Amino acid sequence: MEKTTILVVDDSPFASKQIQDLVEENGYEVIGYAKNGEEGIRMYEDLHPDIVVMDIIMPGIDGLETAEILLKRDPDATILMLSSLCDSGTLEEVKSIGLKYLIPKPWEDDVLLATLEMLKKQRNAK
Amino acid sequence: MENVIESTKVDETFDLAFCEVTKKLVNLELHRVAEDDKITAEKVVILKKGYREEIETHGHINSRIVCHFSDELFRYITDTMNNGVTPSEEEIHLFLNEYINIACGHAISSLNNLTGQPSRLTIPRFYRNNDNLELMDPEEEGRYLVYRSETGMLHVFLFYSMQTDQEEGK
Repeated sequence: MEKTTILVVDDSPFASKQIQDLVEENGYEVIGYAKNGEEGIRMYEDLHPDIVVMDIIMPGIDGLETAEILLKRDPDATILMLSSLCDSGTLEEVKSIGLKYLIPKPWEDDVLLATLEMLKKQRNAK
Repeated sequence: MENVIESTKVDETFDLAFCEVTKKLVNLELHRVAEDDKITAEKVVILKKGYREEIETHGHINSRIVCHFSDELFRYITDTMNNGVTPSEEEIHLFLNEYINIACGHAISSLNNLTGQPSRLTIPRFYRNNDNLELMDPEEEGRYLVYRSETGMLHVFLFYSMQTDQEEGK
């Protein structure tokens, strides 16, 4: 069975490494790591990952803007947002661009994995 | 919703954010030290040497948060976040940036929820032995928060102002 592939978009090497270690221990494959939104868009188009895990606060275009661009180009893109900023206003912004989930940093491993599992099922059901 | 928050509530919010995030990220207990919380020129001198991070918020709360790390605490946080290995000189600042982004993000998220108004964080900036400081703005309220741990000290200088209803055009 093919592994679900993930592209991580986060300027923090700490966060990227933590995500990679966690998800690869749990049956996913990280196929790319982008340090900013521009790189994330390029890598998404090259790699076609199943799921994008993306930080909001990044240099250049932020995660919300990057997600909007990706969704315009590929309305079926599956994106999970992460952020240290997790107030109700930020969650509303995430929802307003058509995404459902925002995971706070630092995340609880079981919450991140459960959300990825949910996204994987939703994607497979399409 | 509270439009303007008392300074003691701001202090408590930052205390909770720094202590919880430090415990979760690097398994270290931080404790607030009882200090006079007014910012003075003498206190600011500490920022000119060693390691400091600056981050701003814009929106309902406009703030500049400047954090100074003792050498020991800086090394402990960056090594621990890099699985016990000292990060390279090229990327060591990225680890401290992430620490400060998460701690301040928690505090600002709590304040955003209290006020019901949005404020956004900028990308953190890292400085080492940089004595170029432009900190004092008489319009801004300042708070000085000091934390100790078994591996060193963290000094937080918090300059902020909150918009009133009139300023927001309500």
